[in-house]
Amino acid sequence: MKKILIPIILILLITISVRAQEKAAAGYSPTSLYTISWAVSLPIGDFSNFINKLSFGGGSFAGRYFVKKGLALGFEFGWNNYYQEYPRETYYGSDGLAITGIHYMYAFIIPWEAGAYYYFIPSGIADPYVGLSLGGDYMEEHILIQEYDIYKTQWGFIMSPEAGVLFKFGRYSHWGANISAKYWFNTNSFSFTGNKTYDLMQGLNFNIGLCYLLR
Amino acid sequence: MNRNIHMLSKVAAVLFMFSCASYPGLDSRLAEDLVDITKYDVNTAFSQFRTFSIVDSVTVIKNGTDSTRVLNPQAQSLLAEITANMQARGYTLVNLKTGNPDLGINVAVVKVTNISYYYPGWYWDYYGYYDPAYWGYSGYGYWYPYYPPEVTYYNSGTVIIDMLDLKNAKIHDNKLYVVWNAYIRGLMTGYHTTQDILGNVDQCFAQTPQISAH
Repeated sequence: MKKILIPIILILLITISVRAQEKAAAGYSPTSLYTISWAVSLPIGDFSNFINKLSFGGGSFAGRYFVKKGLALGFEFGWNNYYQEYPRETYYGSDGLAITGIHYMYAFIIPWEAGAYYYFIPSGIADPYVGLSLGGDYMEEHILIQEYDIYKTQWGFIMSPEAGVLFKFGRYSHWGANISAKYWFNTNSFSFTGNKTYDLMQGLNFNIGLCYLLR
Repeated sequence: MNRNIHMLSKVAAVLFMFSCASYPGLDSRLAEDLVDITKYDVNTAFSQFRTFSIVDSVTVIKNGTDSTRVLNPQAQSLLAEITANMQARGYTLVNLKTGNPDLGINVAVVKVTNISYYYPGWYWDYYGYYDPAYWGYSGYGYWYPYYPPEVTYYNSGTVIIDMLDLKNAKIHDNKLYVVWNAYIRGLMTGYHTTQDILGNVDQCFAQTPQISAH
């Protein structure tokens, strides 16, 4: 339900803001902007075999530079922590080890991406946009059981289409808020034990950020 | 501009603190109740063994020199449960002196609170622990033929079961190989009935299906 609801809210917001812009007097078009966001992330697909709890531990920093009206190029780096506790189950290692106890699953991802974004109403108070980012990511996956920390670290390729809305706090304000939804997948694969395996890691991120805009 | 950068960096700092997910630390994970840790030697074929023998009492290792051997009803049921599991896997219980067992089983309960960290096999030399001479191999030492299980904290109370390869002792250069280890940890972290502990003995065997005479 959550998965459906949030994109719907986002689309509604975009529609409302586009309509509002039709009547609004034009403000300024920024030349660049910087955003710090809080990122809530939902593991989806195979990744949810490992952790299926919403991650509230995440954030990102992004810079975007307008190269022509509406079109911006930019960078973004972020982080997300995922954590889930599994009640008493058995972990089997390849070296003859087996442990029955609570499993604490923990994953950590740091993506670095560059992307292109299109802003529909750059001079508007509310400016919906779409974009696509590509890059690399560093990742750690851990199963913590007692004093055992069974983990894997890896680098992968990440791609993430995104849709969002930038709200200026005033027609000429340098500050604004950014909300966006981002689907991402990376090429990291993972296999510990039982069904906690995935070949393609995917997630859905919802970002709420504070923006600083330059004219 | 500087003020704005300060503002952004403050927001970033607060956000970072807020968004760091936490998971339970080592102390809290170790305080968990009744955890079963086992490790077997992947190079040992357990089907080569047919018979076994088990110690006649349980060594209780306590702080200082209070260690002792006990055979109270709880210790008896612990030994009986291990025996029943071995028999269910097709091994025959034989007399140590007359039956020439292929496998030997040591059982200890550790209840120490004064030290929290130990190296692998630390309890082999402890007072009250059955030494290789008990199994007829005087002058031998216990030995892990594999990288020992990482069980380093014992102050929550632990049952330790060591399975010894007696059949091949003579070709192992004065070493009695420990081919399987089981640890039931958390005896002192809560209230446990004997039945709870016996259930965990069963789990130790259940998670090692390799132990089988067939």
